[in-house]
Amino acid sequence: MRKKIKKYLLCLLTGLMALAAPLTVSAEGTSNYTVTSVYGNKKAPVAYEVEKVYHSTDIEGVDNLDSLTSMFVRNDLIYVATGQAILVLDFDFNLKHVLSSYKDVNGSDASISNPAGIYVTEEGTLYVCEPDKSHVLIFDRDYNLLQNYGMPEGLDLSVAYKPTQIVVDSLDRMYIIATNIYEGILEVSSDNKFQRYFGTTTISVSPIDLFFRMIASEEQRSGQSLLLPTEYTSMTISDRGFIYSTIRSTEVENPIRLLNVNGDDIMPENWQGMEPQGDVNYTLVGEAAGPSSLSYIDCNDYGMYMVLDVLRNRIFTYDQSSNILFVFGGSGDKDGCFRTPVSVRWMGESNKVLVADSLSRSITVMRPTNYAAAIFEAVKLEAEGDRESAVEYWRQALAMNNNCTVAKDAIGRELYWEGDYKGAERYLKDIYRTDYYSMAFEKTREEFIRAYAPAGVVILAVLIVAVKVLRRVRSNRKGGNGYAKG
Amino acid sequence: MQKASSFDLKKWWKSVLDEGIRFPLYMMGKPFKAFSDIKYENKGSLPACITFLFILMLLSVLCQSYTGAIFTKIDPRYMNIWMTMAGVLIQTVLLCVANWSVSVLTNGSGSFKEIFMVAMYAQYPYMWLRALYLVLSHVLSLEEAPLLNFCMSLAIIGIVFYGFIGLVSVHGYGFFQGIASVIFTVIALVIIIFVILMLVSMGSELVSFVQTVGREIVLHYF
Repeated sequence: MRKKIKKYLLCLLTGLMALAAPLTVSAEGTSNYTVTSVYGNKKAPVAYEVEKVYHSTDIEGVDNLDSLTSMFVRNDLIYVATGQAILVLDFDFNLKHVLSSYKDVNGSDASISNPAGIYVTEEGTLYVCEPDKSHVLIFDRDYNLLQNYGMPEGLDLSVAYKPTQIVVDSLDRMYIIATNIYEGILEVSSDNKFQRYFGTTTISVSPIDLFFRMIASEEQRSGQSLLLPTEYTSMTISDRGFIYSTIRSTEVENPIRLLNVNGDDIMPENWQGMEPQGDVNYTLVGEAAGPSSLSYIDCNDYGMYMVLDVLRNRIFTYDQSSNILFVFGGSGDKDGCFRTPVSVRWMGESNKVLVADSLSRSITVMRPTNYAAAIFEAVKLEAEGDRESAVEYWRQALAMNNNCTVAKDAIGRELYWEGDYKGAERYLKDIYRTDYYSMAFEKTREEFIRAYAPAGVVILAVLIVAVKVLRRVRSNRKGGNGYAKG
Repeated sequence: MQKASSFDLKKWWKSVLDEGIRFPLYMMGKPFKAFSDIKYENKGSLPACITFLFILMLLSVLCQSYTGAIFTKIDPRYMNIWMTMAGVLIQTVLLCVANWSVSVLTNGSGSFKEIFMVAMYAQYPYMWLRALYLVLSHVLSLEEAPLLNFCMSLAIIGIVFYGFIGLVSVHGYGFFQGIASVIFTVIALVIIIFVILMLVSMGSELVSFVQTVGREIVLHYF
């Protein structure tokens, strides 16, 4: 009897618990999804698969890959900044050169130590930021030191000058991100003269904040966080001279910025009105909560760019209209997931992706799957202006992923321009692209009216006449002179 | 017994026309008179008002699922019919309860039934305009959207206008009393919602407490 009761209780309780058990969603593993709308993320096919993970043992002639910070790809060479050296590798990871020591401008021997950002120009000139030594080193293509630039002339700083990231435009102007400089990116001329702050970020303070700051006492104010503009975390320059940059901040609305020559943010919103920002749907509590923390960016020749989110170790790829194309990566130990990713770069035309992980001291080479390859090809063709051929690839992508909003959008718009309004409507309706849908709808409505209006008018006229005639007949019968009765 | 069994279609249709069309139209033309008729002459009908409520609930569902693709961003796959309908119902009931409780405190002479009828008759033009919106959304394009916006603004203005007049009429208020009554109704609404939310959250805490205790018992003894 006792046992029975016990059993019964157990059943009851487990039942209760099962009812109340929260749905557990596994967060581990590679994340493959697209963001389609405010309704959340949709599953997407795997965009990138691991080709090989390179540790120091896998690369001949390299002792270690300690403290990886940055990578750069130029002219089929990979430049990797490690703790004590800049490694130059070809695309098969054969070591081409190790730059660990150099002759300083005054003739003394010096060695590379903790380089942060590196940049290589078309001609092969190598720029290396060394924040600990407060200088930027410039090497020629044979790795001889050309210049050792300390703090730029005309820059007045109250903190130590620590350059961490550098890009160089076609006129050899240097754009430098330095830690603890909140005014923006430093624009420095080729002879190390400070020009101006570039891409200056303004802070916006709400009136309520301002009010509370006003009435706060001196002590309270010292306890509050400083209102500082945001600091850039990384940047990269496109072949057309636009600078893509990221901001690691949870407070700005546009953490990915596209800066023109003037330093203005010209990053477009996508047609859904979403700013590129990494994860759109995220939890606010629990592990890895909050918006993405973006720390690295790379762009390619046709306007695509990818950003690295170090909060959830994901990599987000966007096209030039800020549509999210695919997401990959994730936190974890298995291949294709990362512990502490520090740098992502595209490997030239092959669209492979290099991911440097400073904790696991490895460089992962990831290869686009058929799905990603189709999208790459489509975006490339679109950038070249060949929309008709691009649609073919969009259709391929759509065949692999019916949630692919970008593909539906592209196909729908192309069908509209081709004049297939019904087909365009079908695709555009699916993704709520109302502006183009409305245009297509106007056309189909016109066709409809053209087709049926004459017939409609005729039918209406016939009906009216018929009713009139019938009435006349009826009234004749009623008020008639007896013939009807007869 | 006999009366109930004999259903006169013609009579029924006439009453539908009378209560569903004629009286509301009369109300729209002469709102002061119509609302005092409701109060003193026993005009208007409760069944009609309840029907309006159902129509409004139905319309809210239809609007969510069948508005033309240009004018909606709601994905019908993510919509919950019952919640949508309950939303309308709860809105109406809450509003009436709030207003009724305020009117009781401020010597308003309207009964709950009258308040409900005012709420429904005030939404009569809204009902038709909403239906019109639903139809037009399939015919118009984005460029002609201002027409629809105008339609909806008109509907909202109608609700406010007739609702206020109805309120003033059935409670026997003056203009400023009416305004004050509206403000107090809003406050009452907020209080009611607050209390409900508090009860719900406390209830869920209680449930989770019982669950935790249950889990502990299971883990400890079994």
